[in-house]
Amino acid sequence: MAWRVSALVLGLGFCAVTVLSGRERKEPPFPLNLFAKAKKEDYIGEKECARCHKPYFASYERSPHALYMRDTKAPLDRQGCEGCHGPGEIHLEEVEDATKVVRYRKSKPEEIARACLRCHGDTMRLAQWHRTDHAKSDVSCTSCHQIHPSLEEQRVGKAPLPGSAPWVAERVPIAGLLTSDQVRLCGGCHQRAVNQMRLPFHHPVLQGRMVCTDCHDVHPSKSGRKKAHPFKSTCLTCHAEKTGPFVFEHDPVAGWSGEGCTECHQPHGAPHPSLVKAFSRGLCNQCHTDKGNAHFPGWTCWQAGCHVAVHGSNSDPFLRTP
Amino acid sequence: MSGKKAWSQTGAVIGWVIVLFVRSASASPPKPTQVPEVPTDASIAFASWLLSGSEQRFRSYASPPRGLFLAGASIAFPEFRGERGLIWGANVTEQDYTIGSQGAVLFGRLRGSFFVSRNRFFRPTPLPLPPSQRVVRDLSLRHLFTPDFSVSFNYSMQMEDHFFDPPKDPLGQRTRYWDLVGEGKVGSGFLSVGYQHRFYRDRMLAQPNVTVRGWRALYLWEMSPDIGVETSFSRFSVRQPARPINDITALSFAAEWAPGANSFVDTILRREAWDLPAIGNAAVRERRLLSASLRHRFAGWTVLIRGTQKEAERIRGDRTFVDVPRWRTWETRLSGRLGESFRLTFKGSTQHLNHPPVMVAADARPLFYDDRRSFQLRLEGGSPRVSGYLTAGHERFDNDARAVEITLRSLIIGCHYQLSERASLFAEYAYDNWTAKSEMADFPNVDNFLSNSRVTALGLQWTVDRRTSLNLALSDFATANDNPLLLRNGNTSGRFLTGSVTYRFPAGYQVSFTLSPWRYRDRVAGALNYDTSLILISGTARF
Repeated sequence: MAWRVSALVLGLGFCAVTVLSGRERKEPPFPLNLFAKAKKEDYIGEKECARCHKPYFASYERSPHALYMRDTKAPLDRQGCEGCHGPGEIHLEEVEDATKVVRYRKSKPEEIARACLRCHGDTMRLAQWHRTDHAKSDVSCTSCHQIHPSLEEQRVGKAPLPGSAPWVAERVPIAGLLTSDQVRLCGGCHQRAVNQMRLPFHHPVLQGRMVCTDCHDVHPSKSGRKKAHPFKSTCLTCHAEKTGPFVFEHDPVAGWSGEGCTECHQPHGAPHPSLVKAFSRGLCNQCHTDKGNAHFPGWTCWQAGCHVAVHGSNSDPFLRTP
Repeated sequence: MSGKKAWSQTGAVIGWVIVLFVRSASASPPKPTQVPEVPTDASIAFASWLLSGSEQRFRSYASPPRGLFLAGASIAFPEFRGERGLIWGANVTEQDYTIGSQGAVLFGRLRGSFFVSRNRFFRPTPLPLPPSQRVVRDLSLRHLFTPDFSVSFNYSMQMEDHFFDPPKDPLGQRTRYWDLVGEGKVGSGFLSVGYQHRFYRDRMLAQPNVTVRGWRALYLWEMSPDIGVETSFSRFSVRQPARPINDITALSFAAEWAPGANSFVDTILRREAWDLPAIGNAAVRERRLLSASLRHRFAGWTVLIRGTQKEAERIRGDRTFVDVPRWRTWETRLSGRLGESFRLTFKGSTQHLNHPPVMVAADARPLFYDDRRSFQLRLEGGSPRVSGYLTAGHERFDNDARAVEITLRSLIIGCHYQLSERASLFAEYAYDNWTAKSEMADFPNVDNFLSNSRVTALGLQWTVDRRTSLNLALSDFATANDNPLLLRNGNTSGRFLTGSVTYRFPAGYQVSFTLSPWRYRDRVAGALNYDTSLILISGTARF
């Protein structure tokens, strides 16, 4: 009942907002206004840009963007340098005016997202970007992606990251135009995750056998759907044997209550095998306090050969057989 | 080679590095090396271990290759106007290796990409087991019908064969996934319609086959640049042989509104109906989520407040209603600049469980945490020469009915120091401290099984001259656990140093020499200790 009332209130609220906001049509926000007001003759072509911005033009030519932006059948506002930076003629009116050209290093995250999502609308829309945690932390598209890639870095790679395997070729990934390999890129902010991967038991990311986006869906991309399991948690993409549904589910594994897999596991890395948060019997005793020392004083609940089907069983309600 | 000898060699190498570093510090900065633009390169390497101790433990994580191997190759497909492809491998003659390939090509408006990889690896068990393996094959095709609307097909196959310590049974499973999705701009919004199919098969017949299939549709209506409303609906079925069909239906509504240039409001309502007749014990038949957040920027600071309520309608195995536990969460985040050079971020959240679930068991007290609280403070900044960060965190989990209190305190401190134009130093220290209390008063209690851990990381990157560069990376960890049952893998420490020298020839060819003295100790099970000095020589050729 409360859910229906909430839905009704929110629906009515947004209808009211829609009606009110429709009264006054504002000019599109920057940088969409540059493209909105540009005429055909304001687009001067990428060769004109190359006259002043030679190094950037050279790196653009090497990038996958050039493959798409040189499609002459595309609209003028999606071609060449101007497809991203705005019409050249408007920029040339006053080259120092930051409101007449899109400068990705100086623009706000919101403005960068607006510019990129003009073309990358099939990845997500601006409203969807606003709902991401990265947007809420002021992380923009260019915080992770680079449009003018450094050929030098692509070839040579960077110095080995502490804890990483030296035999793994560390190169800037070919896909996604990322500014660095994923561990460094994501680890720039998520240092705790990288440090957990340096613990003795971890997912083999530093060994080059996985990347962060194997599990994390940064934006609702195609690969993201593969990971978004409709039934249980993302972990089942690889650990499919835990999918079930089991005749006898273990509540935290099923995710009925609590956080699912992460209720017991520390996914990046842990001091213990199987990446569990607590060692041995201590893991189960966090919740099952009544099954303390008197229940079984010995080994780990599942390694002792008793509750071997901790993730769910099709034959025993106490999870003693698969 | 003994561990002591390996470490003395390491000391000599470090000393040599320091001497070279000091000598070059006064030299003029190097000019950037000119690398010709070439589309293809390949790296060949030779590696040898000098191992003493447990080979099983040493090889437990993607063990180093041995002998001659292909370290990597990058190939372009200019005839297809393609993006660069990549293949890599690590000694396929060993029982433990990784090999794979990926690439992407473009034909007009059709983009195709593939990824294949094969990993074989050991499990760190005392008994020798056959190697486990994981094979992944992905294919993706995407056609842009208009600049704003695409149809894509994705296929993925994962093959996993794993062997474990007894009594755990081995796994031999195949997971096949495919989807067909059309999405893009339609009208003044974004439409996404797709069908998914996922099939799981256990070759060992320990688990029944599972087929998850269904469709989802989403439409985002962008009423104006400031307002977006999104509705999505999905329906999936989960099928297993000789069992009733399970259905999951989800409906959600999300909206985002920017009332001003610096304010954003968003809300999500989601309802999931679960019809799971295959489950014989307590389950959930409906889940509801309501979340709303407000984000506002002012004077260089951003504040976020978010409230979330989750409800789960629980049923018994006989499908009769039990109760509706409700989780209410409040989150806040404040971030902004402190002066010119520093940035401060504070995050906090608190979750409380109302109407705690009654357990359908002999002990009816709730098994779930009824309070979760977390706080994190992060300070970062500095100058282009010296920058650093400090992150302090506190997490607390309570279950009042069972007197459970679990606390995690964490600290990460790190810095990056640009020693000169050619040398930089990186250092990081992370510490996790766990404490716990519960109604289990006797030894051993929960607290005795929780481990503290510390990780130290150091990195030195030094460009000796325009052709020679040198890198050092050290990772050092230790875990501390009371380990009342005296089990292996409970109290461990490790020190992994990697030093490498790279020389680049004018044509862009390069050779590298890497020395990695590593040490691992298990204080309870000494048989798992090892010392090693990995030697790796690699050459990269460009064509």
